[in-house]
Amino acid sequence: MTRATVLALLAVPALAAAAPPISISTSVGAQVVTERSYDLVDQDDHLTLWRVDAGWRFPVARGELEASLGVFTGGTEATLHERTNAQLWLRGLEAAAVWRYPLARVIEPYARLGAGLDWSSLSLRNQGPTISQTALGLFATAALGTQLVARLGENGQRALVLDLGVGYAWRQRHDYRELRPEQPTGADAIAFSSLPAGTLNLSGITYRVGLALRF
Amino acid sequence: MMRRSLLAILIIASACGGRDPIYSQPLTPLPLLATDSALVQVIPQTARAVRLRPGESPLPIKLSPGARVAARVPGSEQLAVLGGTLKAPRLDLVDVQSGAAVALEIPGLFDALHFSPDGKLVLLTHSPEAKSTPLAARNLNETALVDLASHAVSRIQLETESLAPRQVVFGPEEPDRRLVAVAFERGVAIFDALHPDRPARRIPIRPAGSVEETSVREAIFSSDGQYLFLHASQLDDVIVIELGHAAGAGLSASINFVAGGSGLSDIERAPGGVLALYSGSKEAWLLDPRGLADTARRLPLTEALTQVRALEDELFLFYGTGSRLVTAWDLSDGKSGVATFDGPSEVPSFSEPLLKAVFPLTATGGRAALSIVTLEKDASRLRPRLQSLQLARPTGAVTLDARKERMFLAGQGDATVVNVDLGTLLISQVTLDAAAQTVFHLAEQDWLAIVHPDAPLGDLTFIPAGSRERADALRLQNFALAGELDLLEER
Repeated sequence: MTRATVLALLAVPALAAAAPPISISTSVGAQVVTERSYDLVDQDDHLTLWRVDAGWRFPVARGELEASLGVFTGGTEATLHERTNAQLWLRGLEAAAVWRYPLARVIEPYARLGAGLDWSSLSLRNQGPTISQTALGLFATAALGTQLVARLGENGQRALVLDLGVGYAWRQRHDYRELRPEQPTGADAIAFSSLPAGTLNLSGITYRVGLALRF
Repeated sequence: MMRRSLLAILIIASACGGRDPIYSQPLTPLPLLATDSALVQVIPQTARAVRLRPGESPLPIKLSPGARVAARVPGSEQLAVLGGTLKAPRLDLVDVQSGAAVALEIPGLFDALHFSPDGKLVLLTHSPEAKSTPLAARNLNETALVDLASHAVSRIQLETESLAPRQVVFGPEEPDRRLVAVAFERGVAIFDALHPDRPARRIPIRPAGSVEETSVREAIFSSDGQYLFLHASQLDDVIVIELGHAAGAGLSASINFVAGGSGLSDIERAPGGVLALYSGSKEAWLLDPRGLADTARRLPLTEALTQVRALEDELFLFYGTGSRLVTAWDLSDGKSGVATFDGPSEVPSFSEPLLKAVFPLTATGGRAALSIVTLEKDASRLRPRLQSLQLARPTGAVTLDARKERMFLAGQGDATVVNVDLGTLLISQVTLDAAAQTVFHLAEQDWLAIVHPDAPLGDLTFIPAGSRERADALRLQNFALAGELDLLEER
């Protein structure tokens, strides 16, 4: 064992004692999109989303409140009319407030409210150049869930958490009325015109399964 | 807790729908149509028409499902689309300017549209060649007449002994009637479009019991609507049907077989009669509709020509695909003239205002060429003057502008579009990024739409007519996918 490793191991308890009440989580889930136009880009209604959140916890009269910031990303693709590859990416930033109530030592149900900005890119590609458009929108989420907590260390402040949640996301309709390819350059280049594909509502039920580490 | 989780799972599971098949099926759009202001692509699978205009975003227009045939209503900014289902056949009338569509109920799953030249009427018929029909059995003598202004639909049963219509021609508007002739392989049925309730008059051209394979190849009304001229296969005579008024507001018809030369190949309406072209005896005849030999006139030809075209009321041009000869005949003064091409000619384009015809010449050893025939009339003679333009490749796509003063063409597989001023023969050209398959001229904006090949979902370039600047052009691809995200919301 090297000297550096020994020093690092010795430093962990000290860091833990001094660590602020933050938590870091990663999760996978889905946005269930029930608008039928979503079939353009997917074989089913589930848009898989991966996300990472960082939160700051502070106690309240009953339970614990956590303010968090998260980023998420996910995509889907499908073959359109046997000739075209249709692809959709959804990405976003979300600020959320989570209220947890320790029902038992290992079970902590929670309610979660969030809001943020998301952007999606719709791309269509066949034998010609890929045409695409990115659309922006605001969204809000509400979710209920529970966390299964495995406490680490003597004081139990640090914990490994399994998070299960389900909720609903209201998203602004995304507008894809100007899909276009990358424009050619040059003085005598022939420009491409845009293609209106329509609009898509990505609102719907959301669910997720995640792992979090509380410090 | 268990109950809540179960509820959540049920909600999620209920939302796991499969994919709608509308996005899985391949798209097979109908051929592009052009009006004066726009191109329109009809896509049967998504029940859409997409309007394309230079500088504008493609506009999807909702149609009835199952579009099979579409055509422009002559002289208008309207399209007619035959569609619908077996239980609910429809004729969609699409206003290209506004993007609005009206669906008319029609009495059958027809698959052919025949418009009157003024665009006021359309006769719907069955086509024996239609392959996409879901009908197991069809009465091909059943038709429907649609008044495109009032949207009135009349079912007309022609009840001939023939199997299927071959041609429909509309007569001129008369004070009290407008005749419509439907040519079949064994005869012709004539009815009055202003009185579709009156039974059609059926006129057989093949005697009862005959096994001769005579059939109507072409039908033409005289300009006053009093005569119908028929060109039948296996017959040298022009069949002339005199159409009168019978007692009881019916239609009287007397038939006359008018003889000229031998080997009748084409007929054309002419002042005071019908012009008949005979490839067997190498002559053209102006025939009197009453069969009076005294008033008939004859022009001998130096070569067997097969087609005739009127460039003015009394000025005719005789030509033939593959022929090296073109002959003009002026009926007003009897003068005629002949010109000889450098090679075999192909299907020409005509500019009646300039008295010109443009013949592509087949490349035989040398380069392909265009030969422009201008009919020049002076006091002593009628002269078809030839002017030639050399082409790098045989012509592929060709179109004229609405006034027929400019020709736009592209060589086969060539990306260069050539603009020829037919008056001065000045040439300009522009090279695009892909080969031209078809060229359309949009008269309202004076733009060209050049359609590129091998793109089932659409690929075209718009450019101002006559422009030589590539930077003026705008390319539009995949336009059959316009409005794809709105398809299911509207259903």
